[in-house]
Amino acid sequence: MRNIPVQDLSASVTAARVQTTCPYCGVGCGVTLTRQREQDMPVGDKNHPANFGRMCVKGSALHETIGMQGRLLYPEVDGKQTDWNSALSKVASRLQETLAKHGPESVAFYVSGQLLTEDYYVANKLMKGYIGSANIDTNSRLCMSTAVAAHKRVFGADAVPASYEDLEQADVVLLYGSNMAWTHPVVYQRIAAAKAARPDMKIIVIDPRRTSTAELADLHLPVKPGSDIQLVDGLLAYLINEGYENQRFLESHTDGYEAIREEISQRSADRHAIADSCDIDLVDLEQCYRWFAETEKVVSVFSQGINQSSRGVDQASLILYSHLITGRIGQEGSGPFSITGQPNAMGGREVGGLANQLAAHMNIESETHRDIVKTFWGSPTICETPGAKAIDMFRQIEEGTIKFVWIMATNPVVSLPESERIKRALKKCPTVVVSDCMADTDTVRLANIKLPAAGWGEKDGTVTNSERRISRQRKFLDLPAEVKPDWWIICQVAERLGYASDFNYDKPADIFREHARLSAYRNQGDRGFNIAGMVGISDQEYDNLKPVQWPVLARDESGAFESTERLFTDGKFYTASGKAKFHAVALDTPLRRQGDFPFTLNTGRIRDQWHTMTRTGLSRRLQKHYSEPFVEMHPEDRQALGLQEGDLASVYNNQGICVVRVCDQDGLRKGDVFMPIHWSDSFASAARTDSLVAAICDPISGQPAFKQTPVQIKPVCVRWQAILLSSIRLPLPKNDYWAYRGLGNWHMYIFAGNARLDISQMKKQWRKQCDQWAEVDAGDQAMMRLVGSRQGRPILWMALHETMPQWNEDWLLDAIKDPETSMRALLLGMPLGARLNKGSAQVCTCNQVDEDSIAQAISEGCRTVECVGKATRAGTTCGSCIPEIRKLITRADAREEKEVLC
Amino acid sequence: MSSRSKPVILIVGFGMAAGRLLDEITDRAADAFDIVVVGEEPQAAYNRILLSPLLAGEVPAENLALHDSEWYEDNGIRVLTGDPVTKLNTDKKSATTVSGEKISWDYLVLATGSRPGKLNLPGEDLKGVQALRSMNDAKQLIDSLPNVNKAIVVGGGLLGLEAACALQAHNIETTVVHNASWPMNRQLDSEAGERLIGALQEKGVAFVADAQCERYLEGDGGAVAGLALADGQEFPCELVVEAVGVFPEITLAKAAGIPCERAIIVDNKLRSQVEGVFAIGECCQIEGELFGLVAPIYQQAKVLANVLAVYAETASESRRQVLLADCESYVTQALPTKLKVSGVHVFSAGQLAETSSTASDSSDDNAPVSMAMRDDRGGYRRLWWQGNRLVGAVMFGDTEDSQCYVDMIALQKKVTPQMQLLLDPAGMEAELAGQQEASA
Repeated sequence: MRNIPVQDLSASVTAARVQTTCPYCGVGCGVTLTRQREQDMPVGDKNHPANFGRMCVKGSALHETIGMQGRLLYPEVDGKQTDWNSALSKVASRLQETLAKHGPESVAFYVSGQLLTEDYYVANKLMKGYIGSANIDTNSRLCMSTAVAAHKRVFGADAVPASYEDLEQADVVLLYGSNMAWTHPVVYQRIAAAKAARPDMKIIVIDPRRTSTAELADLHLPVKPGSDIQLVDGLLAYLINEGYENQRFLESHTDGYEAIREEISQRSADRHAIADSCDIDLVDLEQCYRWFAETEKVVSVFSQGINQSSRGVDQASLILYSHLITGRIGQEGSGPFSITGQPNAMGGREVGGLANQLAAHMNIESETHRDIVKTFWGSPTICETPGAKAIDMFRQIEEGTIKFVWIMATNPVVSLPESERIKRALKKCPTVVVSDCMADTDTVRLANIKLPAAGWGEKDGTVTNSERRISRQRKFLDLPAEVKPDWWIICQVAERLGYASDFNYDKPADIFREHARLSAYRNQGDRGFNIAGMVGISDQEYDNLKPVQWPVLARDESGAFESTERLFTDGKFYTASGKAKFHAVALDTPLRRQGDFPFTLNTGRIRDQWHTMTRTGLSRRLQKHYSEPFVEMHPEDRQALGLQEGDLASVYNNQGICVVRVCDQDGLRKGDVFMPIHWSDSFASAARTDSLVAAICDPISGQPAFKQTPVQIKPVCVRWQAILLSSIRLPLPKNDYWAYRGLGNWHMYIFAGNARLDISQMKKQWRKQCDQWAEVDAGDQAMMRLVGSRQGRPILWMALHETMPQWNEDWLLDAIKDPETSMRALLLGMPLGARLNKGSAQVCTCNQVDEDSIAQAISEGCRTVECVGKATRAGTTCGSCIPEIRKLITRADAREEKEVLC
Repeated sequence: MSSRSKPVILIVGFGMAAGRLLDEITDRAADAFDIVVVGEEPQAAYNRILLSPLLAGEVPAENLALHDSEWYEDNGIRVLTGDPVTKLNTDKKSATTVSGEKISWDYLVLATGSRPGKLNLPGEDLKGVQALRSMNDAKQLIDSLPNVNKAIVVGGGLLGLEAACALQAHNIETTVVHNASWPMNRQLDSEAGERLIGALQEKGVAFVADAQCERYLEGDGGAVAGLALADGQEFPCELVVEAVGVFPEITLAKAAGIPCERAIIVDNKLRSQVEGVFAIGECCQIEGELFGLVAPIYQQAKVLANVLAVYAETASESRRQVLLADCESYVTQALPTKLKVSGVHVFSAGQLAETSSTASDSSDDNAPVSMAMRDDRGGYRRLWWQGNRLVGAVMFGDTEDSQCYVDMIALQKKVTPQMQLLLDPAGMEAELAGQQEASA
C-alpha cells in the first residue's frame, strides 16, 4: 500500500500518461493520470464532455485505492490457492455437472455495473446463447431497472433522451429523489455553475431529506416518504386543468393519452389534498407546479428516490408523462433525465445484462429478436423466457433450484435487501464462484472458487455513462500476480465448455466490434441502441476512441463517429407505432404498516464512499468525512429516545438489526431516519443497512424498495468505547460494537462494550505482537491507554474511555512513527501543551479542512464560499464540499440574525 | 553608630539552618547586629545533603562548606566551632560553652538540629555500627572502607538509600534492610517502591523488606560481624550504617525552660514562647509540624531574618507588632519530595492513598480515585483525586512538570480526574489558567 500523498495538484504536472474514466458513479467523468512524485495522480480530463476537467472527492482519491493492499491475487478453489487452468477447469466442470443434472435454470450469473461493456457482453452471451438460460442479472437491478422499465414502456426503448448540457440550458431543473451533490457531484457542480451564471434558473429539490443538494435549491419539497407518486400525479392534473397540454405533440407523437387524461385530471385536482398527503406546504406545491408549467426549458432528473420504490415504474412513468403532455422532450434544455448510479449501468443494459433483456436492446419475448441474436451468434441455443431477477435469483438459490452461481464484481451480501438471507442462501449453494479484485469482501468469503479479476487501471474496455456516452476505460497498470480481466476469465470458461470458436477474442476491441455489429444487425431503426457507425472500428480507432453518445449511426466527413446528443428530436419513439405510449397508473399506494417500528428508514450514499467500501475504504482521507456507520435522526426524535448525539443505538425490525452511531440531522423529517448503504461485515460489527430492508420490489422492474423501511431504534448501552490503531491487523477483545477504518498502511478500529476489560488482559491478548508496553491505568474506571511496541517501535495504540476517546488523528498518525515523540504525548494521543482546538469533523477531504477551521473563517467575516476557500482552501479543489460550506455560512447567518433580534 | 550599641544575635548550632540564616541576615540587615555563631562540630556550616556523594567519592570534602572563613570575617560574624554551648540562661540572656566561655545575647536563635535515631539493639555500640549524619561520620566511614567487603544499611528512607548507593560505589556488597514493604514508604506508593527496589538491584544494592532487626553479631576485636533479624536470617557484614530517622536536639532548650513538645514550640514568625528566643530548622515545631527537608527550612530562614530586622529597627513593642504584621509568615506548604535516588528521579507530593488496583467501593463518593501511567522505559506516575481535587502525586523516572502537581495540590484547584493531568500537567495547567481568564 502506498503512503498517503500530500495532495497538491497545483504542483508541477508532467505529461499526461493516460486518459480514462472514473470507476465510480454514472456521471462517467474523464480522468487523466499524470505522473507526480512517482505516482499516478488522477486529475479531471479537460476534454471529456462529462466533466470538462472537474473532479469529485472520490475521483480525486483514486490513486489511494489502487495499491496491492487486500487484493485477491491468485485463483483459489475450496480454500486452496491454485493455477488458472485448474481453477477454470473446476468452474467449467462444476457448471457442466450442474447443467447435466439439473438443466440450464439451475445456474446463474450475478454481475455488476462495475464490469466493462466487453466483460458484460461475453458474460451475457455465454449465459443466454450457450448455457441457454436467462439467469443473468446484475446489481443494476438495484438502481436502474425501474428507469429501464419505464423508458421501455413509454418510449419503446431503454433510452435516456437528454444530455448533461440540457441541465445547464434548462430554466427549471427538478431533482426527484436525488442527493446529487453527494452522489453525482460533478453533474451537480455543472448545474451549480449554470445557476451561478444565470441566477434566474430555478432548482427544485423533491426529497424527504434536506440534503446538501437542497442547499442550492430555490424550492425544497420535503415530501413524506412514498408520496412522490401523488405529487407527480398532481403535476399532471395541474398541467391538464390549467391548460398546459401540448395538443399538437400529444396527437402526433403519443398513444393512449385520452384513456388516462380524464381520470388524472379529476383524481388529483385537489391540491390541498395532495399537499396534505405529501405533508408539504400548499404554497410550495403550487410554486413547484407553476414553475414547471410555465417554463419551456425544464429538465426532470430522477434517481434512486424514484427508482428504489415498490411503485417505481409507475412514478417514473408519470415523470415521463409530464414531459410528453407538455411536449418538452427532444429539445435543448428540456426532457426527463434518469441519472444512473454506476459507471457502466447503461453499458450493461446495452449488452442485455439484465435477466429480462436479450442483447443489444432486444427482447427475450420476441421470437424475431431471439432469432436475430441466435443467428448472429451462431449459438447452439437461445434462452426462451426471462430469467430470475436479482431477488428471485437469490430466492431460487435459497430454495436450491439454482445450484451454481457466479458472482462478478459485486457484493450482494451487503447490497441486496434482507441481506442476512442472501448470506444464508450463498452458504447453502453448492457452487459459488466469485470474480473480484478484493480478497476479503463479505461475498468473497462465501465463495468456493475465487477468481482474481483486474481492477480499475488494470482493465481495458468501454463504459457508457448516464447521457449515453461511450468512453474508454484504459489500462495504465500492469496486471499484478495472477490477476486477469473478466472478459478473459469468462471466455476461458466458455472454451472449456466447448465454445472456443465463439469466444475466441484476443482483446476487448474484438468484443466491441462484435457488439457494434450486433447492434446494427437487422436493425431497421426499431432498436434504440444502434452503433452501426462503429462497425469495423479498427484497433487503433478503439484505442483512441473519443467519448461518443449513441446512437452512432455513421461517421462524419472527417471519418469521426457521429454522436447523438439528444433523442426524439423528431418526436419519433421506438415503439412499433413510433409514438410514445401512455399507460394507466393506479394511485392506490399501499401504505406500509409501521406497527412496532415507528421510524421510516431511508438509505443512501454518503459523499466520500462508494458502494461497499472495498476500494474507497482503502483511502484514509475518504473515511474521515464519516469514520463509522451511523443513523441520522431528527434531534427531537433522538431526545425522545433518551439518546445523546454520538451514542450507539440499535436500529432493528423483523428483518435484521444494525448497531450504529446516532447523528443529529435537522434536515430530516421527524419520524424519518437515514442510514448509509456502505458499511459491510468487513467494516463494522453490524451495519449492513440492507439487512433491515425487506425485499419488497416493484412488480414490473423487480427493483427493491430501499427507501422506506419501518424500523425501531433503541439505545445500546456500553460501559466503554475504544479506539485501536495498529500497523498490523489485530484480534479485538470481546466487544458489543466495532467499526474498521483503513489508514493507509495502518489499521483503525473503533469498538465498544460492556464486559470489563483490564490492561493485563489486553497485554496478554497481544503479547505475541508486542514486546514492550506503555499505559495509562485507571484501575476500575473505564479509562485506559496502551501503546505496544515491537523492537522499540510503537505498533499499537489503544484508547479506552467511558465515551469516545479524544485524540488528534493527524498528529498521532505521524507522531507514532517518529521516535522523537514523547511517550506521554503518544499515550495522550495529542501533542503536549495547552489545546484550544480539539479537532472537528472533516469537511473538505481534498485539502483536509475541518469544520472548526471553516467556522473560524466565517466568524472572521467570510460570508461566501469563495471567501472561505481563500481563507482555508476548503472547497477549492474538487468542490464536493461546497454545499456543506454553504450550510455552515447559512447557519452562522441565522445565528447572527437571532442575536440581533435578541 | 558604634559597634557596641548593636544588638547581639547568638546562634546556637551551626548546621545548614544556621548557615542559611546567616545568608539571609547579611542580605537584608548586615550592619544591624553583632552575630555570634556557636557549633559543636569542628567545622563551620556545610551542606549535609552532600555527605552521601562525599562518601561515594563524587565530591571532595572542601566543596561542602557553605561559606569560607573570609566570608565570616568580611561579614563580622564571630564563629566558634568545636565548642558547643552547654547551658543557657534566658533570664540573664547568656550562654556558656564547653570551654567555659560566656556569651551574652540580645536575641537567641536555636538551630541545634537533630540527632540520628537509634534502634537500641544489642550490639549497637560495636565497632563498625554508625550513622551518616556528620562530616565526622563520613570521614570515619571512608577510613573504614578498605577493610569492608559487605555492608548493611538499616533503614530504607532517602538517607539510607543514598548511603547504600554510596557504599556500592566503592564495590562494597551492600544490603538495605527496611521495616516496611518498600523503600521510602512514606513518600512512595507500593508500585513506585517496587520500581525503586528494581533500580537499586540494578545498581547491585540488595533490599530486604519487612525486616525486624534483632541484634548485631559481634566479631573479632569488638567489631560488628553481621545483623540478625527476628525471623532468624543473618546477614554477615563488616559495616553497618544506621539510617533510621532523626529526632530534634532540644536538650539545651528544655534545660533552659523554653517550652517544647516534640521540638521547640515556635509561632509562624519562628518566635519561641520566651521573649527574644527563636528557633529554626529541625529543632523547632510549628503548629505541631516538624521539619527535615531543606526547602521549608530555607523558607524559615527568610522569615526569621525579616523578623530579626524588625527587632533591630525598633525597640518599641507596639511598633514591632505593626511591622511584624507586615512581615511574611512561615506558611506550611505541601511538602513535595523531589530527588534523585539511585540515579532515578523521584517525586512525591500530597496524600498517597492506599494503592490498590481493585475496585474501591464505588458507592463511596469520597473514596480517592487514582490513575497511573507506566511508560516503556520503566517510568511510572500516579495521581490521586478526592472529589474534584488533586490530592496526591507520585512520579518515578520522568519528573518533568512536577511543580504543576505541587501547585494544584497546594491551591486545591478544581480539576476532575482526567488523563490529561496525568500525561500533560503543564498543558493542563495552562488550559485551566486560560479558562479562568476567559471566565474572569
